[in-house]
Parts: sequence; structure tokens; C-alpha cells
Amino acid sequence: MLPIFCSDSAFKLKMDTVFNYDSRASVYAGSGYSISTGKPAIVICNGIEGALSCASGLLTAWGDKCALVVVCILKEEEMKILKIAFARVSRRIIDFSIDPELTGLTADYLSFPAVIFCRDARDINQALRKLSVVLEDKIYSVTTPSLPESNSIDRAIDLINNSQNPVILAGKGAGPYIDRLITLSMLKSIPLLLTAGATTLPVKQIELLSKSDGIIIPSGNPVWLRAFVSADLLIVLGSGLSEVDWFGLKDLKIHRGKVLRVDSDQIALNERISDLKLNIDINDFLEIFAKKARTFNSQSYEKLKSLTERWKRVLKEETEKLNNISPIHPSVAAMEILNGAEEGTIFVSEGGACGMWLWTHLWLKPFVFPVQNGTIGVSIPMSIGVKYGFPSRKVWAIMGDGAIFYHLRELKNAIDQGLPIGLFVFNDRSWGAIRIAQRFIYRSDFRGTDIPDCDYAGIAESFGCEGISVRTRDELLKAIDLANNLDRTIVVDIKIKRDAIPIAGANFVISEFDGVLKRTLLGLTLSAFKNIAKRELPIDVFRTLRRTLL
Amino acid sequence: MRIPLLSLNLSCGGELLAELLAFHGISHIFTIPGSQTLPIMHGIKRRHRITLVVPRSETNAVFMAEGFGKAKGFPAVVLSTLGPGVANELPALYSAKLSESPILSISPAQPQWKFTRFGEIFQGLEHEHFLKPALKDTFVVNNLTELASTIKLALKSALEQPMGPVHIDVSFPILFGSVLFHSFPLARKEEEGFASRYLITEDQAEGLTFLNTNFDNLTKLHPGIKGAVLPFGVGVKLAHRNSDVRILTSSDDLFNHLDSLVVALECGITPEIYYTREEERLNVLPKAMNHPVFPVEQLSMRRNSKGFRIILVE
Repeated sequence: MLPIFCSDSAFKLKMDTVFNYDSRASVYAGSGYSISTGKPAIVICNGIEGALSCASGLLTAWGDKCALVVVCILKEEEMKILKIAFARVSRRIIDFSIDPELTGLTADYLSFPAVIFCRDARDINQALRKLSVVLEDKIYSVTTPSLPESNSIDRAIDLINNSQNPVILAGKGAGPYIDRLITLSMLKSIPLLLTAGATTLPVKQIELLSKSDGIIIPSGNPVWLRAFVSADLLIVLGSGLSEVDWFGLKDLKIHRGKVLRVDSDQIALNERISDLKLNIDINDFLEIFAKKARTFNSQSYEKLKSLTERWKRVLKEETEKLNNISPIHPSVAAMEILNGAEEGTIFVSEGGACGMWLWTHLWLKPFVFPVQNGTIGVSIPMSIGVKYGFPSRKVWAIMGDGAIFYHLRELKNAIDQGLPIGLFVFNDRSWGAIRIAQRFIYRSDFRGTDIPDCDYAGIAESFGCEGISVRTRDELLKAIDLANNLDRTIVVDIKIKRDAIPIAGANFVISEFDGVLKRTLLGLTLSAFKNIAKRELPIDVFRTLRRTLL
Repeated sequence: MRIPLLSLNLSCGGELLAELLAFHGISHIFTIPGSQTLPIMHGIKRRHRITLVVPRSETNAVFMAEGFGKAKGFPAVVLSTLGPGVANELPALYSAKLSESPILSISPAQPQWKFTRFGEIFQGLEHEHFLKPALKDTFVVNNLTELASTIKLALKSALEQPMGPVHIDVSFPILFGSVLFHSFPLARKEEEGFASRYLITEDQAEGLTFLNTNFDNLTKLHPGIKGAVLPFGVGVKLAHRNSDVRILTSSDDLFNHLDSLVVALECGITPEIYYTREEERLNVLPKAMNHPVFPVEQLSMRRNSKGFRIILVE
């Protein structure tokens, strides 16, 4: 059964339906389900207002290629008006009255998100029946291109065999082949790096990666960057190579080596970011790679392994030095939440400083995050979708106080529909990520980014959740323990130290400012001097990086 | 009369934009802070007399601007960061289009040279096309020299009958870019409408029903779509602080827009909440939010000609 997420309680549908208060929340919930399970979800919206809300949430799903199908009930003239908006945030738009067989929809991730326009409730039921036939069990089976010429394959193998220090960069498209990738990476002594999108692969795939003994490095940490920069060849599998993976930036080019791109999606292969591209099924490529690629120097492979261990150790040691700070340092909070959660917990986060702290400490744990847009306010509805897909697992969302009011009401939904989640609010009374930019570009002029404190635990209790406020590490540990043992929705309001600088997340920041980095250089330099003079630079960040990389 | 730019000591496009908005009489900017909007936020000076209001979502920012524009007869600015920030504006801009409220929505946009890679750039979205169903008009600024004339055209469009929301995309490198020689003309500020008492409801019919029982001599306003009266009402109150604003809403909607209460307090507005049923009194507000709560019978007894009153009806 395909799960349905819907904000119109008037819909009496026979299939399992999760209700949300808002169509946008339905899209986020469906996205959370789809990202974590790797399976498709359906969102239903009724009328133009619902459709507009849906469209506003669909940008996030579009960026992350979520397997979502949005079914809208609209009048003819409303369809004409909205088509132009939906065209920007979906990959397929189908009018059910014209294409009742849904021939325009293929069961691979390239079709998603898709939008189906229906005219009435009867059409909806027929569309849903059709969707369950088209999509069930077929998702992510990409149309297989025919094998390219042997000349191209030989050139690719030559490129690999002639390199000294290659890495495999696996994107989301390589997810279905992850177990084979792990084996080959270890066999050939080639490190396996994950793109930002692949760091949020479906839960099963991430768990396969986490159990492996090979060198698998998730995106966002200095070890990844070190391996990425020093590689003389990137073997890119199933990735669109976006800005958050340090590609396509105008102001910065940090990878200087060659790029071999392998993808079954012809369109995704971008001429400008490859030295050689192969339009081939990834599985077929891995077959050839296993037979013909040589084994590489295990010394540099082992060096990266010890660097990984050093990074984890140094990060832990440097964070432990901050244990006694009150309010709690966000590094301490992120580390304790990730380490204290019971086995199998799935984490959800979003754009902003709290997300960057999670990226700093995360290492191959199941993780749902809006990578391509860094959207805020998505955590609560996404968590509900994830919980629906994994009812027996703990689902913990980590979000900032700047974004909590976007879909706070969904907490009530989580309770009413028996989908308990844990919500950890990083309450630093500010828009933390923006303040980082203000510190370094506007010489610590923090106008417009203060948020007055609010008792989020108290608000949560009014919705019927368990609510708890914490200010010290010991209190946080008790709250984590409670969250592990409670089978109800819990909101932990963590009073967080302001203006700490996360170590991960530079890729998101650079992507935001690409195009103006040089112009802001003067502001950055002046701000650095001011921070040094006032002793406000984050020494712990520099020390962590120095101890890891030097 | 033209003001030479050099005399104004500006350094970047964002500051020029702030200067232009002040010159054209913009008094309020509703914004959720974003990295690319910082040049504009930091370009606002005390002499501009622009109030920065920071709601908790872009949708409510636009609803507040809708209420402001409807009551004032002159637009406020909504400033959202690009990509998902602008996307969140869509349903509320449609509401403003239906209610014929003038709004000037401004956002930084990805520069032209990124357009071919939209699927692979961070927060890539073609705002102009995406927002089209909800706008009266849309403008794009790719060059600093176009900024002054575009703001003027956009304001003219927003204020021409029927009034409505317009959007301006400003290529974000322009906002960070240096300003050299330029000048722009002064504009005349539009006349304001003013009422002393407002009744905000979901729609006209609801307001009339309640009017028959309790109120008279109230100017009736409602947002274009349902479920937005509370942020809309905050916008009306910001437009006319000395007026008595009364909002008819449900406890459900109150819970949906708790952030509007928080923002009202931050702006120095103290909401009073009136319940009609005993169950509402018990459940009406999160205990964490210490707003005064009264039975509706006290509404006429409590003297508050400059109040902000939320009346819960089902």
C-alpha cells in the first residue's frame, strides 16, 4: 500500500492516510517517508489553496528527488493557472482526464516529484488505484541504457588505472548498488566518499554502510574534504554534482584532479563537470570495474583510515572540554543526542546552525535532511513521515528555535495519529546560521537576528506532549534517557550557548555566497581582525581542525 | 529633484535598495532573515524610519503584510531569502491577490549565469514563474541601474486599482556589489487610509453575523483565503497602532498561528483573548504563553480603544 499524506480531513479514503494540518506539511511528511524508506508516497490536496501550499513545499522534494506523487483536485481554470508554478518544482505534470493510464509517469526517480491533476473525488480514487499499479515495487529502477562503445569504457578504465590516488564519490543514484560498492572499494583500496545527498540515503542503505569495515566517509567533515581535495581522480557514480558537493562554484574550485562520471541518466551528465562521462547502468560499470581496475596503494588507504579515527577522537576530546558550559554548547548537545540515542534511531534535521552541528558529529547514521535547499521548518512533519515508515524505531528531530513555529501544530498530529517523535529544540534565541554570516561579513552587527526566549516545553505540554527544559549537560543526559524510554512525543527545549561556530556546513555557506565571495573579502578580513582583537574567534574550531589535519 | 548617490555615503546595492524604499515611503519590512538579504537589512538606517518585523514564517510575513496593506492603502515590503523562503510566500501572496491588498515582495535571486544548472544549485528556483499565479505583476533586476526605476514601477503597479501584490527579483550579487555614481528621483508618498476600529474575520458573511449581535461602526476586513485572520490582524494593527482591532477566529486557528501572538508582543502589541465557551478557556492557550484571557461577555465592559482583541468563535 502506498501511504497517503493529506490535509483535507473531508477525504474518506480506504487506504492508510496520515492527516496533516497543512498541505505543505503533507509534502514534507511524504518527503520524510520517501527519503528514509526509498519508497514512493502520495500527497493529496484539494482546491487551489491546498495546491498552492503543496507547491511551496514541493521545492524541497524536487531538489532532493523525493519519490512523491502529488494528486490535486482542481477546476479546469485553476489547473491552467497553477501549471506554471508546478512546472518549476516537479518533473512530471499529468492531467488525469487526458492521460488516465498515467503513461507519462515512469517508475524511476527521474520522474519525481510528479503532479497529477484531477477534477473530482472519483478521479482521485481511480488515480490512486492506477498509481499503486505503476509504482509498487518498481521505484528507483532506472531505465537501463545500452552499453556504450568499448572505446569509451577502455578510456575510463585507463583513466582509473593511470591515476595514483582515486576516490569513488557515490551519489544518491548509486544507493541501490551500495553493497557492491562497499565490497569493491575495500577490494581495490579506493576510499568511498558520499555526496551530501548520499549521506541521507534510505535507512537500510546507510546501515549497510555503517556496518562496513571499509573507508566510507560521509559528507561534511574535514576528512571528506581532505580526501576530496587530494584525489587526482574522482569516480562519480549517480550524482548530479551540485554546489553542496563543491562543484559548479564560480568563486571557488577546490578539486583540481580529473572527473570520471558514470550515470544511467543521460540528462544528469553535465558536459562542463567531467573529463569523461559514461552513460551506463551503474551495476554494469561496477562489473567492468571489478574485472579491469587495478588495486591501489593500501598505504594511502590506511592513512585515510587513521585520519578518520583521529578526527573522531579529536572532535570528541575537544567537545568534552566544553561539557561544563551553561547554557549548553551546541557541540556537546549534538554529540550527546547522537551518541545517547538508542540503536536504530533515525535522525531528522534541517537547514540552519543546528543542522550544521548535526553534520559535524554525524557519522553514517540514518539521517533525513533537505540537502539541496537547506529548508527550515521541515523537521516536525518530516519526522512524522519517517515514523510512519518505521513505526518501531525512535525518530528524533533536531531543529532550531527560529524554525519551530513553521509546523509546530503537527506535534498534535503526531499524538493524535499514534506517531510519537522526539523533538530537540536548539534554543539559542537567535537565527544562528545568519549570525555566523553577520559575524564574519558585518563585523558582528547582529541586527534582526535575535529571537526572544519562549517556553517551548510548556507549549508542547499544551499540545499533549511531554515537555522538558534543560540548561546543563547533566539535565540533557536525563532528558535523552527519558526520550529513549518514553513512547510518547517529547519536546526537549535545550538552552544553547549563542554564536558558536559549527565545523561542518561550509559547503552550504559557500554555496549560498557563491558569486559574491570576492566582494565580501574585505568585510571578512575586517571582521576577522575585530574578532581576534575581542578574542571572540572560535578557538575550539581551529584547534579541532589543526589537531585533525596537521 | 534628484539626489546624487555619492552624497548619501552608500557602499553596496543593498543599501541603495533600502534608501529607495525609504524614499518611497515604505515604513515596514516583514522579513525572515537570510544570508542574501543581509545587505538590505544592514542597509536600513535609523533615519529611514523603517520598522523591521521578524515573524516566524514567510507565509505569515505575507499575511501580515496583506493586513497592513489592506488597512493602510499603501504596501509594506516582504523580504524573503531565495529558494524555499520565496516558495513559502506563494499561498499568502495568492490571498493578497484575492483581497486586492498591495504588497511589495522583494527577494534576492540567483544570478543569470546559474540559470542553466537550476537542478544542481543550492536553493535554485525560478521565482518569477513560480510565483506568477499569485501575483499582480513581477519584475526582475539584473543591473544596478535598473533598481530605482523598477521600484517605482513596482509600487505603481501594486497601487493601481485593483491593488495587489507585486514581486521584485534582485540578482543577489547586485545587493553585495559596490555602488558608484548613480542618482534617483524622489517620489511622493501615497495617501493613507485610516479607520479607528477594525473587525477582522474569515470572510464578509461571518463578520456580518457577529456584527448583528455585538458590534457596529467597525470597518470590516478579511484576508483573501481562510485560516489567516490572526497574522492578517497583526498587520492591520501595525498599520494603525491607535485603532481598536478585533479579530474573530477559532481556537484551532489560534493554535495554528501562535507565532503571530509572539510577534505581536515583540512589536509592543498586547493581545487580549476572549472565549465564548468554557472548554475554550481551559484549552485556549498554551500555558507557556501568559496572555490575558477573558469571557466574551466582558468585551464591551473592558475599555480599550486601542486594543488588539482576539475573540474565539467556532
